[in-house]
Amino acid sequence: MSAELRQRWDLPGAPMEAMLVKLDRQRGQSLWKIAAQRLRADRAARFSLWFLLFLCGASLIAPALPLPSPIAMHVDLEPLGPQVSWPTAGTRKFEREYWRLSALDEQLVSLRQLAFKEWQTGPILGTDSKGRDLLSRLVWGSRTSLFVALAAAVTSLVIGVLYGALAGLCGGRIDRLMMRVVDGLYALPFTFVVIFVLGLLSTTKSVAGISREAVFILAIGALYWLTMARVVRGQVLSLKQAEFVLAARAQGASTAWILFKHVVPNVASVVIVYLTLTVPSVILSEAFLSFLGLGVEAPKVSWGVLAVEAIEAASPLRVYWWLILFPSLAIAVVLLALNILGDGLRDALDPRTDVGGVPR
Amino acid sequence: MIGFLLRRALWFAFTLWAVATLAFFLMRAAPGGPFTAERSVPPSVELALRARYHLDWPMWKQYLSYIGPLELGSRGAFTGDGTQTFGGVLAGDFGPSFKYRDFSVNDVLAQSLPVSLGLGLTALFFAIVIGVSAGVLCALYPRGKIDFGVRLLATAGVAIPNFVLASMLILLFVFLLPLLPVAGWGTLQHSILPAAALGAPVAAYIARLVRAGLFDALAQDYVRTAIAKGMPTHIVVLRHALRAGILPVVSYLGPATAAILTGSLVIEKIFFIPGTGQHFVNSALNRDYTLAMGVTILYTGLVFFLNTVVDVIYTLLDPRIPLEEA
Repeated sequence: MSAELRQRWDLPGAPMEAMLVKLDRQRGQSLWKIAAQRLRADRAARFSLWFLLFLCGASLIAPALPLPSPIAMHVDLEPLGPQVSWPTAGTRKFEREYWRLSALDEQLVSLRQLAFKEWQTGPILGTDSKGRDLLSRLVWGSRTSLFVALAAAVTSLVIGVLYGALAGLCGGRIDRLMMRVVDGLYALPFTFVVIFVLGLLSTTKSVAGISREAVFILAIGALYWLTMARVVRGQVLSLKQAEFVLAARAQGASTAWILFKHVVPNVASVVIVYLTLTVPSVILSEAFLSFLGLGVEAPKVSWGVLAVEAIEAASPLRVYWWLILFPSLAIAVVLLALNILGDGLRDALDPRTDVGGVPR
Repeated sequence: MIGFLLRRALWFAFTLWAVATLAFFLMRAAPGGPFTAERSVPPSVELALRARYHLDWPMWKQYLSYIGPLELGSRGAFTGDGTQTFGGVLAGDFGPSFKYRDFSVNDVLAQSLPVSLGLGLTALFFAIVIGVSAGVLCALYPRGKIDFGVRLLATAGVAIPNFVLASMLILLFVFLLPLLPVAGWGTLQHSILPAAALGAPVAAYIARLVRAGLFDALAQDYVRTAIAKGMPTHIVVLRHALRAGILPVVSYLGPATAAILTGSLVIEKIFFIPGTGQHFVNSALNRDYTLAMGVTILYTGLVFFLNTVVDVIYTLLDPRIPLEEA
């Protein structure tokens, strides 16, 4: 017997140890780890994720950035085109003009005044018909648009998951009844009802103690919970009968263990994918409703508001192309990134795709 | 089939009733009325106006007279001068508009609906033609440059909102290359840009559906048989695969019409098209009770009706699929 062979067959030898160590490592391959690996391999999705994170970060710290005020008007001047000589210090001094900000945002603005004093960026993306800085309005608008989108998506998530999980868990007649209601609501063009309701409320500040912005978010969230309810219900139904759940139960696992160790992670992947794909639709709805004048209120800006302002400012005599181009580009790029990320996540979290392999 | 249609008709009636009732009471519950916005109206005139439209009636009486042709008052429901009688929604009469004083809601809708329908149909036609041909091109030249280009455009088309596209199109074809008029309605040139902007997202989605459907169909046995018999690829794709591959598109046409109707609210605003969309938003803002209700009921009914038509067509095309209960 050669040394090599003896080493291979010797039980207490090193190779066996190595194999055990390897096995040990492999056991840690959870669905989420595999998904993260796959996502890392998907260049477009990875890039989208970083881009979106960067955008969220920028809009979060927007008050601390050396941007001009988004609402300080200078109507005496013609709209300025983008000024390419960058970095341009604005000829104007910073004016502290905002709508009512939260306490944290006020702190951030004060921080900005400490750090940058009177200095502010020049009109890098130009100014609008009332002399307001477009870049600043875009960044501040992203706060509104992204916040509304996230809040509305979470609203639809909560309603949909609760409803769907309840239907799936109850099963039987209750399930049939609940799903019949969802089917019925599907046939109803909800958008029209939402437009109608928001149109009615557009002049009021609050309804039954809920601010108009919250109503706006709830209304958009209500548009999207139906599909979520269906998806979750289907997943819960199939999980109830899954063999690994049965196996866990046979081994004496408690209901709570099964719920949190088996049901929740399996539903979560579907929910996350659907959430990523809902956010762009919600951004679209927000822009659409703002466009119709039903969105956020006047001094506040969102991307939809910017888009409609641009079209209102356009005239056959002068074309303010930057007013149309940059907000449109912002909306389109974010929606594209979210769609790509959603598709990537769906591929990455799909357990049917080959384990370890790059999807597709 | 008849049972399905009957069930749908019942559900249709129930939906319309629910929407009408919801809209009626939401409008009345919302603060402000159709005449509160006018500043220079003395209280006595406002009272007279409210009496003329029976807004001084108790809520249940207003509601009943709006829904049905009931004889509830000496002058008939909602009638202003006593010359016209208002039949109620059940009789297909939406009553007089509160803002456009000399028009009934039916007049307003009769003027604007053909415009909106014309725009919507043009957009839908555009979307189907472009979408299907793009999808077929992908299947004819799979994994080539055309395929890649179509997929890229389709992703972009789904992601870009139609009003963004509309403004881009205006920039391009009105200001940079002065080929088309910027706004208005009436000629073919007027409808090109709005229809393209309205139809593009739908076209993108249809292209994706057709591509996926065709790729699916091309893997089927009967297609393999056709290829094995020596049939040219384009005939296999167009004659055999397309028939199965187009089915998802048919089922998408329901949501597509809803998307186009919703989108037209915005597109009509951008291009100053005198369609129904402008009334939809403005009437709710103006508290023009009857007009807002009329438009809401009309649009709900339209979408529901078209969805049913699509479901029926779907079963006719593919007899394997049973009509789902709605």
